Amino acid sequence: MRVLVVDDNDVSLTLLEATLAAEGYQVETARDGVEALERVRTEGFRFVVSDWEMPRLSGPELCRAVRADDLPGYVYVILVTSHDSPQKTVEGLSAGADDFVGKPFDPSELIARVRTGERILSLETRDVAIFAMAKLAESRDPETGAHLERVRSYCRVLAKDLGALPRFRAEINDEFVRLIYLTSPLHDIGKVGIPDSVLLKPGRLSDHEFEIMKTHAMIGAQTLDAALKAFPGVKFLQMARDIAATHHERWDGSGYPEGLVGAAIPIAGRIVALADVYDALSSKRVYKAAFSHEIAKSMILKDAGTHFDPDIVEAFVRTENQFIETRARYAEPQAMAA
Amino acid sequence: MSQRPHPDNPIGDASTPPPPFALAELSERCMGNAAVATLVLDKFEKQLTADIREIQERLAAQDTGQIARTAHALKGAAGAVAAQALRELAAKVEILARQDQLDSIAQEMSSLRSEVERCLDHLPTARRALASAASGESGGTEAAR
Repeated sequence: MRVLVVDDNDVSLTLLEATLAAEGYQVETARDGVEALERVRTEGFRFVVSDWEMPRLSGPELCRAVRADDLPGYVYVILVTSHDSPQKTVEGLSAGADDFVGKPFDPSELIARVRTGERILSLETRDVAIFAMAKLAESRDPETGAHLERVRSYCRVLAKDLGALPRFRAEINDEFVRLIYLTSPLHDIGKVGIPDSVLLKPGRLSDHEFEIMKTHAMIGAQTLDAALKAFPGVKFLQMARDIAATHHERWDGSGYPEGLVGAAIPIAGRIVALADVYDALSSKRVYKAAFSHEIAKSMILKDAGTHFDPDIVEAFVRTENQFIETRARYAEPQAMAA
Repeated sequence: MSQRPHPDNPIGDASTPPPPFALAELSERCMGNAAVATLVLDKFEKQLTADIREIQERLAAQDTGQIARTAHALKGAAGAVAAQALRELAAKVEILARQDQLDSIAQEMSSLRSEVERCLDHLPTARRALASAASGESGGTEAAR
């Protein structure tokens, strides 16, 4: 595993580097937080061991910057510090540090803590497997391209924005944001149960075919219910189930499969509903060109309070620049409207 | 100064201060690797000379902010090489600098300078002891165990 060690002090840096290299880690070094942040962004480091007090950008500031970034994977950060007061520990944890090592450090303690971090990072392979499963389900539809990548990013943007509002704070916390990013790609997993003749039909679906297509929400929910039965209480399965079951419900009760109304629709389902529709509107399909952001936005605004939760539409308006950036980042060839 | 036998001065002669480096601790920190220990001590020597000069210059310029930062760096380096007395003195200077107590820093400078000199004087002995400990030879009372 590659580890980025950050310290402005040559002596400490040498010892940290030697200790980790002796355990077989591929160690690279940075001399301050600014250099470290740049290398995390450009070189994809997933593990950082950083001094606390450094010029330009301190250890906690580095943590905050890493957490604020839209990085592809989780970055585990250990702060090496001579500060051992509870206030400093709280400060470090609040900044996003995962663990601490006292200074001067004991090599065996450092190694043990790095190994713990490695174990935690390895859990993320579960996240990769979830996304791979979603991609597999989606792969039958050749048109969707980076649909899942965009939808999960849109969901994260909306959830972060809503979580900052007092009325959503109890429901939408950091874990919710992480989970919706993880599970929103599974929204259409039930499409594996839809026959090719319906799923891949280039023209308009007949009423009967549309009824078949609508069953994907329940098929997805039932599939995830089976997993929940085996692993009750697993939060990501519960959220994935809610999303699969309710992302076609509408705020006014005119959606499917159950015709749920308003807040009876789980908030994760309401968020995915907007993200999914925005992506469908702003992407090219066989039956339509990609609409510009402005047109997609006007269509969503028109449906606030009918199709969509008005609070989520407001969050969309507040964060529309992030939608535009995400759309550009995952743009399909020729998909962007002129 | 402690009157108990020091791990690196096991005879425990109260009239002799313990060596500036706790070599057993330093060797452990370097995983018993002489090459690492040598490298670390080389870097420490370089930093020591630069930091004490910096603190003296910043003291003349009455720049307590920079004194605090340099004393903090010196404290970290001294801690890393198990130079406990130097670490404590550097920590004291750091705190005084953060409190803008220039006069008190000036009073501490002779102790700090003499401990720095003691560390510099002791470096060749420390290097030999760590090398012989790493190669499994007896290093006498200073050998890292």
